[in-house]
Parts: sequence; structure tokens; C-alpha cells
Amino acid sequence: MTDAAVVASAEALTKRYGRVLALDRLTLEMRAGEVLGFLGPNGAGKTTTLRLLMGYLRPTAGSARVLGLDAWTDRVAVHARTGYLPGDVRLWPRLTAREAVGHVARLRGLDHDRGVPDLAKRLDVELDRPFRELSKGNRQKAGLLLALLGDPRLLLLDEPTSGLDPLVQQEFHHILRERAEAGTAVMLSSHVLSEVEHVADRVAIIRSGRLLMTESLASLRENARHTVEVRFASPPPPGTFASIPGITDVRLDGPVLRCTMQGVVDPLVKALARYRVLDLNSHEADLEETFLALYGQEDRR
Amino acid sequence: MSTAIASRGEITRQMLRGGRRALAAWASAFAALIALYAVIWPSIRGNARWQELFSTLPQTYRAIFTASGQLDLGTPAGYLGIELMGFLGPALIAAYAISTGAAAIAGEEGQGGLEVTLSAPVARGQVLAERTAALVIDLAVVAITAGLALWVFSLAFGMHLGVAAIAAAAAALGIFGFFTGAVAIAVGAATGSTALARGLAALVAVASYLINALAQVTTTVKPTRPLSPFYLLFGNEPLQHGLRSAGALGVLAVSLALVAAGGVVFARRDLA
Repeated sequence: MTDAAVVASAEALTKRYGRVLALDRLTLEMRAGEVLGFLGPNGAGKTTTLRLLMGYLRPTAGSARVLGLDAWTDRVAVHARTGYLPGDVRLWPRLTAREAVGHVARLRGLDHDRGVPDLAKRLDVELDRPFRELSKGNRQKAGLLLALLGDPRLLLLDEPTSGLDPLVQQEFHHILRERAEAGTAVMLSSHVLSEVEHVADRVAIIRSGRLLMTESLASLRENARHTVEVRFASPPPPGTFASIPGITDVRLDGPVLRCTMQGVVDPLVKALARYRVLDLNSHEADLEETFLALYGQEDRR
Repeated sequence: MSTAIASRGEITRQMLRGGRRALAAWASAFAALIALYAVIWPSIRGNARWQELFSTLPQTYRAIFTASGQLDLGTPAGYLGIELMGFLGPALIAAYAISTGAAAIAGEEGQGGLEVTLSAPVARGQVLAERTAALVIDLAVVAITAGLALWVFSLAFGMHLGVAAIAAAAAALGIFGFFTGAVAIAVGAATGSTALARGLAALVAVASYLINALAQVTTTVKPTRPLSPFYLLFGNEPLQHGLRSAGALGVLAVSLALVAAGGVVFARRDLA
């Protein structure tokens, strides 16, 4: 993945509104074929970043580049190869999705029938009702359809799955994976990891306008935490398990051990093997917890 | 680039499609208003007392009711000059042009559609130019409808208005609409605020009307009268004496310059 072409990048990208620093020297790269989850709480600067990459906002400092072009000065050329989904999909109230697709396709100079019916079906878009009659989820689906028009090489999606039911969300993730395999770079923002963990290759975490870290999903999974509960036939001596690498939150209540393991569990298993174990329970904490743990650590620096 | 060529005209067509109902309503309102005046005309014609009453009114009142202050109310052109061209006609077309012009960029921006249009490979300047073109077409339809209504009802009620006079009146209304609409488009494009676009454009329209009215009665305002588009378009009483082309072209040029200036700011500002 690292040798794939850089599709979009931010270099010390900064946006200031008066005294408010909305984005503080963000540096980030997106490569062809990569799905990047852009995570952070509301107001962290996710939408600002996406709108800077779209050339809707002028950077106060730094630059946003797409396919080698400056996002602000060369925005028309950038838009020819970029699909965008706004955070709040508000389209022309009287138009139907079919009419809006026709309009945007003509603006893009496309043969608008190509691929649209299939996508509309997969996303379950209501094509023939005016937007003002659609629920948030249905507007969202129509917005996704518009963003996917014309096989863009970069997809910038602001909270794409909010308001979608799980089945459509899953189908949408399949579509994104297909696009990524064909070489598209995808950035999707969310305030919850669970919305992106099944589709993203990498996550970037932003808070208060600053990038806290970027991490591959594989490495997040490696660092996944397991909570482990063990019941012994007889209480082991206190302090037996404290020195195991990766163990935390050790609590020994008579014959019952509760602890958290981060990373490989093998050292714990080897240590347990020296005692008679009656019962063993372990479950992987979800990535949200792992993420919060890392997030918390970064935060204290 | 081929994509840009493929998209040319699409934004104009989309705005026209979206504004069809409003356009039909405003054009019908104009036709209905002209029909109403025409229906009343036979009962007014030859009523000398009305002309007397008007002549005895203070100059200030006459200035407020008519663009020139000089009208022969005994003629159909004079009658329509006071009823249609002196205030209500320009006010109506300005109201339509301002609401359409404010919606063109600022309204779409507030509503969210502009961000979607601009996510396609279309320059902001092209969006502005195409939406201005749509306004011009809308206003032409209203002005031509007004002209046709004048012609038809003039024939039906024996008002004997000349075709050239009707064309001049329709052109004056259309150009005044374009001027006020251009202010609304330009302010909306430069600021993104629909309220500001509407407010400033309405203010400019009222100011241009008041300057013309006050210039007839106070010597301090008089020198500024040629700056008033209302004076330049209606001061010659187009239904009686036609349109002065220099004034009309001047108003058109200023309107286009305003849109262009709005476009320069629009291309350089952050979207809301």
C-alpha cells in the first residue's frame, strides 16, 4: 500500500476563523486504493478538512492537494476527479433523485445511465420522489449516489453512513471496497469507530483541529484488548501474574483472577498453565475501547 | 476540457425548470394587472376632472406618482404612465427580480444545493453567469408578457398604444428588473447572505425611485437624478415618448458590472 500513488494530501493545512482555530497544521496523505476513516468528535475539524480538500474553503496556511493539483486554485480540475458527500445532504427540494442525478451527470458531462440503475438498486434509493418528502436516510442514499457518479478517483464522504439502516450500510461498504480495489482513494469521516472499522484500512483521529494519530486497522486490532476472567481450583499466591507483559488491571479475589491483556495472550496462558484452572473466559474488547485507550494516551501528552 | 463543454447551459436550464411556477405566477400577475387597468379605462377616458385634480396636486405628489411629473391623464399612455409605469409596474418586477436574484447564489447556498452543483467540475464564475442568464430569460418572459398584455388590451379597449411605445415600456420594466436583480445576485454571490442580498437590492431600488421623485422637487437632490436607474428608464415616460437608449444601455452596463464584481468576490471567498 505504501508504494501506491498519493491521491490527496494535506500539508500543515490550517484554517482559522477569526480567533477560532478550526484546523491546526494537519498533515495527512491518502493513497490510491486506500479507505481512510477520519475520526473525531463533532466540531473536531473533519468537515473543515473535507471542505478544504474540495476547495470550498481557502486555507489560512498550508495546502490541500488532490492528484497533484492545488485544491483551492485548481478546484474545477480537482472536482472532475472527486466525488463529494456533504455532511448534511440538502438537495433541491422539488427535484427527485432521478432529476438530481441527471443534472449532476450532465454537469459532469457523463452518459448518466451508465451504472446508475445498478447503484440505485444496491443503495435502495427512492428515485422518483421529491427530496422534500424524503427521510434523512433516503436523502443520504441519494447523496451517496450523486457522490459516486462518474467513477471518481477520490471520494470525500462526510459522515456517509449516519442515518442509514445496517443493511444499506453494509452494501455501501461493499461498494466502497470495490471502488478502493479499483484504485479509488476514499476518505470517510465519522465520530464513531464502529461505523468505519469494517471498511477502513487506516484511521486518522482528529480532535480540536489537531491530528492526534493515524493508525492502521491491523495495528489497532493487534493492540486489541482482551478482558480475561480465570477461576482456579485454589487461590494462587498474590502477585503471581503482575509481571506478565501486557497485563493490566489485575485483580485477584481468592480463586478468581480478573485482568486485561493487551496484544498477544500467550504469556498469560503459559503462566496460567502452572495452576489448575476450572474456568476461563476471555473476550476481545471492541475496537472502540482500544481506540479510546490509545486516544486517551495521546491526549495526555 | 470536454466536461466543461458538455455542461454549458445546464445550470441555466435547471434554474429555469426550478423557477417555472414562480415565473408563471408573476407573468400572470402582470397580465392581470394590465387587464384590470384596461377594463377601467373606458370609465376614466374623457373625465376632465381627473386631469384637473392631478394638475392641482402639489408637485411633490405628482413626483411620487409619476416618473416625470408631466403626464396627460386624458390619454391612455398618460393613464397607464401613472397607474402602471409610475410605481406599481417597476415595484412588481423589482420584487420578482430581487427574490429570484437573491435565490440564485445565496439562496442556493443556504439551502445546500450550491455545494452539490459546485462539487461538479464547474467554475464558480460559470455558475454565476448561467444563473444570471436564467434571470435575464425570466425577466424577458415577464416583460414580453406585459408587452403582449398591453398590446392585446390596448386593441380590445381602444387605447391605441403604438407597438414601439409598448416595446419601450416593456424594455424599461425588464431592464429595471435586471438592474435590481443584478444587485441581489451580486450581493448574494459576494456575501452568501440571502437577507443581505434582498435587503440591499430593495434599498437600492427604493433609493433609485426616491432620488427621481425628490429630484423633481428639491434642488439639492436634482443633480443626482441622472444616477437613478428609475429616472434613466422611466423618466422619459416610455409609453409616451419611448426609451432613451443611452440611459437604458448605461443601466444595463452598470448591472453587468455589478454581477461581474460579485463574481470576482464569489470566486475568492469561502462557501458558507
